[in-house]
Amino acid sequence: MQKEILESKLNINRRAFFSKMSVGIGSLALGSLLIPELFKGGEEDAATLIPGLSQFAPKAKRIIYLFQSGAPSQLETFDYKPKLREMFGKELPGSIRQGQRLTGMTSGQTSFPIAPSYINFKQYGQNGTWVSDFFPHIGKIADDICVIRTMNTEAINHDPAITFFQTGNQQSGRPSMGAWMSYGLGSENENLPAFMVLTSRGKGNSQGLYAHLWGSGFLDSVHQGVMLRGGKNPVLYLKDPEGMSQSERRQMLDQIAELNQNSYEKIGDPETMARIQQYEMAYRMQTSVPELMDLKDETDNTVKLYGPDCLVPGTYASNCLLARRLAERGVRFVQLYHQGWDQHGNLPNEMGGQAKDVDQASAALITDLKQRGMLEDTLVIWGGEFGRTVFCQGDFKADNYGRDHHPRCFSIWMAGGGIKPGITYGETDDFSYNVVRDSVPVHDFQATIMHLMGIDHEKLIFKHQGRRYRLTDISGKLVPGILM
Amino acid sequence: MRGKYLKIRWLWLASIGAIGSLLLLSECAKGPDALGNTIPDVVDFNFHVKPILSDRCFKCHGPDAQKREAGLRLDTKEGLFKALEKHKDQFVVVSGKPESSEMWRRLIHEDPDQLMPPPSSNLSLNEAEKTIIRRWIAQGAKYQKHWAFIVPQKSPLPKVKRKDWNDSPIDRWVLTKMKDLNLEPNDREEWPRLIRRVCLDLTGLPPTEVVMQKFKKDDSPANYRRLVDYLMKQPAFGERMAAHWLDVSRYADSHGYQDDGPRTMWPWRDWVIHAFNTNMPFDRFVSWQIAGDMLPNPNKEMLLATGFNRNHKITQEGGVIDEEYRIEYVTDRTNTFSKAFMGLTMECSKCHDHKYDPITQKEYYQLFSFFNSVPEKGLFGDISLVSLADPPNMRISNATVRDTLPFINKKPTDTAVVMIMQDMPQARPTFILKRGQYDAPSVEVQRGTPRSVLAFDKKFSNNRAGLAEWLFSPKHPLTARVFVNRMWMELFGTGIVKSSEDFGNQGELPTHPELLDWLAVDFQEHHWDVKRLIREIVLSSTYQQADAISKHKQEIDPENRYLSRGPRIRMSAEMIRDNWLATSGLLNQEVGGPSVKPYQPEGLWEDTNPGRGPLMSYKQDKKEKLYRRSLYTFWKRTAPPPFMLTFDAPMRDYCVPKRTRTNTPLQALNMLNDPQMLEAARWLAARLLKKTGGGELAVLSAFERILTREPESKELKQLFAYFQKRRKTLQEDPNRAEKMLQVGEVAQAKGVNPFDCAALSEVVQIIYNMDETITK
Amino acid sequence: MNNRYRSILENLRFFLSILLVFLMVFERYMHLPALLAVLGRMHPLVLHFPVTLATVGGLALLMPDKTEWVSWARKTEFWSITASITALTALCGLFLSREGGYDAATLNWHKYSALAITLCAGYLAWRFGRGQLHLPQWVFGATTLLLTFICGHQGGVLTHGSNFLLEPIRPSASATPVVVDLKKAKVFQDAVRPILEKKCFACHNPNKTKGDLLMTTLEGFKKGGKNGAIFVAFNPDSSQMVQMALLPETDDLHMPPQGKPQLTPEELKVIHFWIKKGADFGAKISAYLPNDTLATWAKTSSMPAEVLPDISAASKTSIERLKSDFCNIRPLSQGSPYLEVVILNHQNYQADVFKKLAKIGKNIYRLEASGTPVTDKEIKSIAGLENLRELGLGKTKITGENLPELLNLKHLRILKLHGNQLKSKDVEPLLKFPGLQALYLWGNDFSDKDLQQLRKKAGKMHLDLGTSPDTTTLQLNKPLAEKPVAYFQNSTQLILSHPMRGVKILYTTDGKNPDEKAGIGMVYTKPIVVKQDQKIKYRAELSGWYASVMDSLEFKKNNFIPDRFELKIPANSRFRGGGDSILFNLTKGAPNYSTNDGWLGFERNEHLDVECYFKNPPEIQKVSIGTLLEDNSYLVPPSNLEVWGTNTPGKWEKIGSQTYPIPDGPQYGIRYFDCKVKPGKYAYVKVVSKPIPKLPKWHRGKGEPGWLFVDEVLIN
Repeated sequence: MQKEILESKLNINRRAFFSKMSVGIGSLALGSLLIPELFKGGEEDAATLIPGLSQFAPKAKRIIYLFQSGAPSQLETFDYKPKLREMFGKELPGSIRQGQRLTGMTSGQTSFPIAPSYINFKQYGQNGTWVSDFFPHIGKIADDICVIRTMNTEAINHDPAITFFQTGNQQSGRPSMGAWMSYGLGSENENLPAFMVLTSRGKGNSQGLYAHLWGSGFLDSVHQGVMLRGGKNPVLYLKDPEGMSQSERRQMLDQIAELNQNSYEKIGDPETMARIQQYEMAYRMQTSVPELMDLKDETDNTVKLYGPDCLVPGTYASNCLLARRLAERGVRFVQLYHQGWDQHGNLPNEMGGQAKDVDQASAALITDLKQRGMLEDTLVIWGGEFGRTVFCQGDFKADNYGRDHHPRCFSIWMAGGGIKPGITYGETDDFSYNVVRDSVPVHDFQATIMHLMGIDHEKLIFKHQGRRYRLTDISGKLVPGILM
Repeated sequence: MRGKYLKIRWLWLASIGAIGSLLLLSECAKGPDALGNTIPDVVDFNFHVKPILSDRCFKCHGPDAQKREAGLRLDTKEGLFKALEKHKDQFVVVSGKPESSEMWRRLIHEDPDQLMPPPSSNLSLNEAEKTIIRRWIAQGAKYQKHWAFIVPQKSPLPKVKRKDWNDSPIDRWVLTKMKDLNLEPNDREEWPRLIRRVCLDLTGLPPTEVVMQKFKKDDSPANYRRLVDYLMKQPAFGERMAAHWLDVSRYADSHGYQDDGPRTMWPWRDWVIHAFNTNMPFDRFVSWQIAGDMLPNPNKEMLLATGFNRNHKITQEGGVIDEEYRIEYVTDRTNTFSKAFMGLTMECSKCHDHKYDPITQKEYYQLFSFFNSVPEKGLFGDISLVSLADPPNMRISNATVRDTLPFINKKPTDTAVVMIMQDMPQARPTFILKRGQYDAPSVEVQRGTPRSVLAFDKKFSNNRAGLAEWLFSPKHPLTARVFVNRMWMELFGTGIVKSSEDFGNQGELPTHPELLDWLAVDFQEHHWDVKRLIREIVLSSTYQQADAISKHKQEIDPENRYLSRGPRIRMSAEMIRDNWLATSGLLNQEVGGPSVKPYQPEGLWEDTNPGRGPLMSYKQDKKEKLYRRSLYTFWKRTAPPPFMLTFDAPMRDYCVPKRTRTNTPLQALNMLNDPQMLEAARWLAARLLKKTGGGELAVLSAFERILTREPESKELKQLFAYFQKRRKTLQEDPNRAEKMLQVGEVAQAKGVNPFDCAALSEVVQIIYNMDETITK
Repeated sequence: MNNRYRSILENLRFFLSILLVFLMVFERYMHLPALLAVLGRMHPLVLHFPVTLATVGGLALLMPDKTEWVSWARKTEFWSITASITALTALCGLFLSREGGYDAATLNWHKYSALAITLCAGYLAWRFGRGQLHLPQWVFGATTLLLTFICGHQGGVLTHGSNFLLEPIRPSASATPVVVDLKKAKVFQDAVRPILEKKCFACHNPNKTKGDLLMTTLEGFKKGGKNGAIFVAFNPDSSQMVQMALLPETDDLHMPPQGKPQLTPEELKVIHFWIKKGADFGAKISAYLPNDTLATWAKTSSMPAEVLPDISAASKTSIERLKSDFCNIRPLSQGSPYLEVVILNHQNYQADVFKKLAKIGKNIYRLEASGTPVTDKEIKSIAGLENLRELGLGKTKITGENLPELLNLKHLRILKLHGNQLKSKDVEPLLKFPGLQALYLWGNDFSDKDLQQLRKKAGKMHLDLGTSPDTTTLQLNKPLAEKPVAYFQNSTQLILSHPMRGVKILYTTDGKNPDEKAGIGMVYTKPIVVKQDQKIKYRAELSGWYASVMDSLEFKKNNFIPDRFELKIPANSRFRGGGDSILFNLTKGAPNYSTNDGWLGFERNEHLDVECYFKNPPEIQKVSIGTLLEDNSYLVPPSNLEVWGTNTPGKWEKIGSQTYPIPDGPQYGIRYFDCKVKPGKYAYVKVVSKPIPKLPKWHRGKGEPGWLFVDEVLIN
């Protein structure tokens, strides 16, 4: 008897207990709604940048960098110094030089005669921007560009100077600016790499280019710059072997994918699935790159705008036209190099040839972007790795002279992507030797570019060998003066 | 009435239960992250606390005196337990009492100006890390010196139950650690695939037909041991070990920098291959490279070995400042010495005291001074001088090769002049350079080594020979560990210490510290015998496991750091190309000799050359030189071989002891359209057709030749169906097949049906592009 | 509860109520001893008891007297306790209010409602003791609740400010940054005041004016606090406001007080700057520009140029499902609910993607579909994306009739329609677009009249009609010669091409300059086959362009290549080119000799001396050498060319020699020098040519030795 009573009590309790359990569970569910993080795991705090996304609303979506390798002289491009004409051949005052570090080529020189610019200048645009007669077409677009006359760098030789501009450090080994952008922002178009490189060479005295200028450094090698070259194989190994049709390549890829799928089911290595994706991406590039390179759909007016060279593969003009086509297809960072600006001698004629290569095409690129409504969010940069000295290097005549390397002040111009148009920023002394007002060191230049792309340059970091590396390394301030 | 009460009472019980479970859930929801390191009950300073302090605090409270804030340093014992500057009564850390430790109060402070680390530093600690610090202080805040600076000891071997995992010490440590994470090891890999793995690991080449016949039948451990010994006797072993040493020593065939003229350093490469093949003890191998010229009566081989320290970039750009670049060369030697042999990032302390490791700028320049007395110039001569080896150098004549250096593969017509090390009679004075600037010397320093690693004992001679002795003294905590760890990385893909290039405070911690120490001490006890070390690892059951990855293991240990499955990693760039040549039969086994120029897309050198010097245009070699192993490919620093770059080879500008391993579309394009691969495919197809007469057998033997295993019936059926379909379509367009068989320069095989050959070569291309083919 | 406790309670209640009423009446004369001030500070501690008791009591009175706890609340003891505690709390509150700084009106409401609760509780305790109330119980329940509510609310306002309760859901003015137009913004209004609002108003507002300093109103801010004005125009360093901000934080006078959010350096700089410029309340920011502090504040302050209304983010799964080869969707920036969608021209493009995008329609900020085959049908679904700001429809298949549908995109700022076939009548309605800032119409077929009309109607909107095609005629570039092999053994061919469509290439083989108008030269259709020495001139012509520059290629036959040859004297060390083999490798050296290895250079005693051996001796008549002339680098013609021949090694017999006149002027380019030979078969041929030992008078390097550059020896 006792057992039954106990039994029944137990049952009641058990039945009641279970009915109540449902209520308990219900309240628990309600509770979880109020504490979302509870079951989702902690979010990475927002402070550090999540790679692949800009930090705040960007003004520029993509960058086209027209790098004039060899360093065009600022005295014959944008830094007009009329007073120098009267000081033709006079010695450069020691006070101006202040023990400047000279390259081996001129440190042996005893006299430093001033060589005024052989070419004269005109004023263009509403604010009267000074542009030399080497660049009539760029003059016409003066209202769209911002000329910066007070860039300065620490390196006095080509290799360290270009490496410093492209990677933020004079010695090689760090990722290039394009690789940082690809790492930081990813690509707008999955069928094309985020960072592409095009090179061309003028007839002037040229310096070499090195693979580490567009390398990925310690970042993942998927971010390295992909070279786009004229001719039938624009990207290395892009074209299928002679006579293989696209459908045949598709069949082969399907076979490979099936075998890989089988090995994945057997062994379970996720890397195998990732490789299948990469083969699909490669297949897509095999169609997207040729379509990009085929200039048949460009109108005659466009060819006239850029100049006839734009149809000749490997020239600067054709690279500019390709740069616009790449920008249209959402490539994040297009890096152009035009070699041949290293005029240690025979400057007037060599520089004339170089200017003829780049003047019309550079201006055409800006006009073309503008009329397609793309200049607003495309940042275009034109410039070299340092300036050239006001004193002459080697033998000296009015119409023929050379200039040595000069890191203390030089000129570049930028356009679009949130840059204030139509102004000249910064002032140099009468000898274009030192910066007088608004200096722009290289790291500040890089910090400002990243700001325009919606990235806080102190927050885009990569931890390598225990150190948090940044493009702007340990310095870099914003240059508000050139922002819209 | 009573029923109602019953209900209410139950209501209370249920809600309390709900709240309790809610709290319980939130506790375990934090849960273990991937590697199961929940917050440990007993907190160890070196393994849990130091990594946090180093990464978030040392930047402003570490060894770098100039940047130190509030006179507080957390990287030393005194610093941690010191009284605060402003309030003498308060202490940074009070062992046992977190609440009264200033460090703890600052970690959880509300006010942003008091909170540590300060928001402006972009650094912060998450909840788990704060709890670890708190628990460490509460458990008495025991301090330990950095693990890598303590001389390794052999600790007693743990017992394990499984018999087949009980004989090798490696297996015993690995199995014990595996049990902590309740993981079970895989069983042994299928015999053919194990042969392929060990052949690739020891020779860099897939198993040859000879090896397969000899060893395929018997899969017993004894036969496996015989296979390992056989492979280690092949010259290919030396080439495989040399390939990784070229990365460490930043070997290249050009000077680098602006004009990048050619140099002849290949005889030094031949010596490295020879040294590994003759199993030269590691201490002599390294001592000759560091100080071969200063050891008692050095012979030509010892001088040649010192080429290691002249592999750095050399400028030929007219107009550079000589002293600036000479200092760059000495800097490179110092940085390479510290990273290659000690796994320390001493290059950070060139401009200031090291921010994370106890290395001062003074100690950097003390090490710097060992390498600072070479009679060299920053700029020896510009490109037009075409100097293949800036002095001091050594000319290797045919007589020298005949008599003393037989291992150098030099043809009479080859010029062989090699840069070597040499010290001036009067050592150059060395100064600490302010902010590392070549033209800002300050205090003079004498030769010495970082005290925190090992003080430079007076009994060592005061030159590079002494430095080599110091490096290999039994009291040195790092040398053996770093090399053993790098060998482990070559075989398993990731080292026991993942950051094989940084054993300092910011480096990763070893997953099996006792195993690493045991191997290091054992390596020294056996007189630094390299082959024996590799043999130990390769014979362990850990290495012989199958590489299948279960869902469970993939979740718990995605990177296989706890070795519960065999290594499965993408092959290096050299191995992938060598695999094509070896399996197709085109491989030219010649060992050593000058670098060669195989196929390369045209225009690469022409587009970017500086417009002068002999390396302006790429002149592709002919005939047998096209099929040499990849470690002999000519390496131009400013335009390295594109194939190598795409598969993650470093630029060889400076010492890179660890390669990344990526997966990109450019690799896919490379694997699909590289003429080297297309030619190998057609050559293999032709050979197999002659041997098997075609049909399914040809497809089967192609599969087995490349993957050393029989294809599954599904795979064979799929490939054979593709072969037949392609043969039919190719017959409709004869010149298509013809064109396919013209790729590459080796002559077409005669007497073979072109359509069969073309179709089979497409099948071979598919197999070459399988993920399994480029994975070892 | 036995009687003894009950009576004590009664008396206590009575005593406290009377004391409370008394003190409230004579409040003004009250001098608070320090100890009581401490009691006052306990007010926040005890105030929660009366609130609970009064609420529970009030509720109980409203409920039917069934359950035990409700009846309990009808006992006199309950209300006595409530009354006494409420009185005690009110007393503390009274003492606390003596510290001052509270808004009078709120304080009064709070004070008297507390008194009312005390008296009401007292009455209830009294009446329940007697067993009967004058009015029904629920009346008292309701009044108690009402009084508690009033008293509680006012107390909350006194301590935490009026919108404390509703702040999370009702965005107060300072939370959403107002859109600041830099040109119209005022220094104080838009820069200084927002800072004060964030960091100072919490304690210096009408409800709580610490230090008698009211900062929320202009005159309060100007008047200052208990120790006078807090800023002195033009003199920031002696302004109290700045001094206190600069005090070390541990100092009690430091403002904002420790523990409260501190002023950042930038904010302090802006305040410092405003005071230095005269603390002018009306001045515009633009008046002070260009100025670093303000510019930096404007640029780097987190106030984005355009503030987007906050909307809920689109679900991740729907975004992933919409992504495809031709449709890429990315957030505008980290954490932003707004998306940018890029549609690409890809072979598996489907037009219904725009319909599907409606699912996340309200999140789309930018839609770029230029260069894709979008048609009019899709315009309708595009017009449904209400939050769209930027729309790109350049180079598509739209004809333009239903363009006006886009007008209901209220927020659209940028519209790109370049490169389509739109008519001006389709486009005109778009000019009335409310918020549109930029409209790009370049590349449509508008007549000039249309263009002026559009420009007239555009008003302030930026209408970009692109550049008018450049009318200056330019010169074509030269035709491209594919791998021009200048030297050949038996025959070769010249393949010409030109990148532009419709270009005609004219060429001649007789040395005359081709000119289509003059009818000279043939039109190039297929590769030109060359069998013997020949010079081909060619040029590109196209109507509307100037003809290209003339280009020419000189083909030289090199019939007999020796099986073996050896250079007796090595070339100059600096110009060894690609080694001696270049003499017979059929490739022409390039003009810029320094940058390629196609040339062998000979100077002073070095000269060309090559001996060739032929397995089967050829019948030769002429030997020539290809040389490079470049006067300013002293590259001049050779002085002579001699040829020896023999069939027995060692016994050379001169079979031809030729001397060349000293040049009388500078020469440039590639030239060939021939030397006739005694016809015959020779197994061995020796070719010797010496550079000019002394340069002629007219040359700038007169008297110095000349250079001889050779790239090929041609034996025919």
